[in-house]
Amino acid sequence: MEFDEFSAMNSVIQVAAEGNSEDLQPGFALVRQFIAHSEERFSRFLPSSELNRLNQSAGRWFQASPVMFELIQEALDLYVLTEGLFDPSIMKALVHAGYDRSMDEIRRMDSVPISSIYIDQRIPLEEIRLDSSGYAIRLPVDMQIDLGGIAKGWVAARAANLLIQYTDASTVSVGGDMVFVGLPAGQPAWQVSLEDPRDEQRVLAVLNVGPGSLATSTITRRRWIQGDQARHHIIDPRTGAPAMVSWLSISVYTEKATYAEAFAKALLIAGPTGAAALAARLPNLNFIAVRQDGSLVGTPASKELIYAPGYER
Amino acid sequence: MHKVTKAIIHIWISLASMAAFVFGWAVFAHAEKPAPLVVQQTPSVSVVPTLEPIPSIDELVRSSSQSMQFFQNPNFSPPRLRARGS
Repeated sequence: MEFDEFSAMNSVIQVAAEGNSEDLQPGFALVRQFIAHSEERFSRFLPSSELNRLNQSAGRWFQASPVMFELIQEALDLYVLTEGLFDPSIMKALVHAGYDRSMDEIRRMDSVPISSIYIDQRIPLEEIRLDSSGYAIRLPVDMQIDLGGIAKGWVAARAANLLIQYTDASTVSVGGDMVFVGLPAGQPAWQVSLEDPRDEQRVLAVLNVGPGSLATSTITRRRWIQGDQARHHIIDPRTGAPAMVSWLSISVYTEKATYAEAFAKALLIAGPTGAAALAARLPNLNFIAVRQDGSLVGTPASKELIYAPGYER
Repeated sequence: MHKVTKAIIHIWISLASMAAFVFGWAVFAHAEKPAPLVVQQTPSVSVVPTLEPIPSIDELVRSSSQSMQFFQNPNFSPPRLRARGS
């Protein structure tokens, strides 16, 4: 297995593929190029990105790329499917909570400034207008979109599929979003370390995953201090503030990367009382959540994901 | 204007207003309700999973000597691919 690791999209990118290094180098280079190009399209921290141009055009029709159009359409579907717990229009709330610059910049600061004015206007997502004949999008006036994780999931899936022309098995991880295509030679599954959200050096479990997507969302990595308040980036759309969550992290395994990512956020917000019912809305979805004490809980079938020599299930 | 005519007009306006109100109420009460913002779909009981404890490495090591031998073996190193969250 050959690896390539680098930073992009404010995240750690991990790429792995079966084969020899020489054959895979063009594939790794292609993935790097694709991810750099995607960052220019989806980043809210690059003024000229397509996402920023879309947000600046709120109230008017915007001619989007087919890719942006597809993701916005998917975001709307996921909003309904997650009962509103995944909501791409929380950007103003995120900025108000202090996430108004890249995480690299925030990590260099002791405390981010408190925003002065914020009116939580709750513009219904249904007011976004889509014209599929010309890939045109009209956001309501004052609505701002942050595709965040689902863009990363989409990028991971496309990148892993780009790489597959150079190999029989590839995986790409963009931040918390991992996509697996094919299987390592002679192996029944990919093996993945489930990191302890309290201590990134520790591994809580070894997961066996087949082709599909594994998205992990946590409140312990993208966090900061605003004034004297601890903040994190998981915004509860119902309150417009960082969510009060019981679990430290959650890993969702399902077929599609964008769905895994959106459900990871939604299930983390839903927590122990609501996650099981919400997860049942998507067939073939399993998740493992990490409690405050490091113990694991999840859907019954998620036990099958655990690599457990000698353990009787 | 004659007093009786005035009274008749007042009564007529009152009755017409009440009739219009009742008619409007009946129309709106029986009209199709607007679609809810988020469609509630209650999953069937049979597919709602319960949550169960999932064994971590620590628990596996405590519960099985085979797991203990495997995970505490100095040659064991966790997979390089990491579900690390963001």
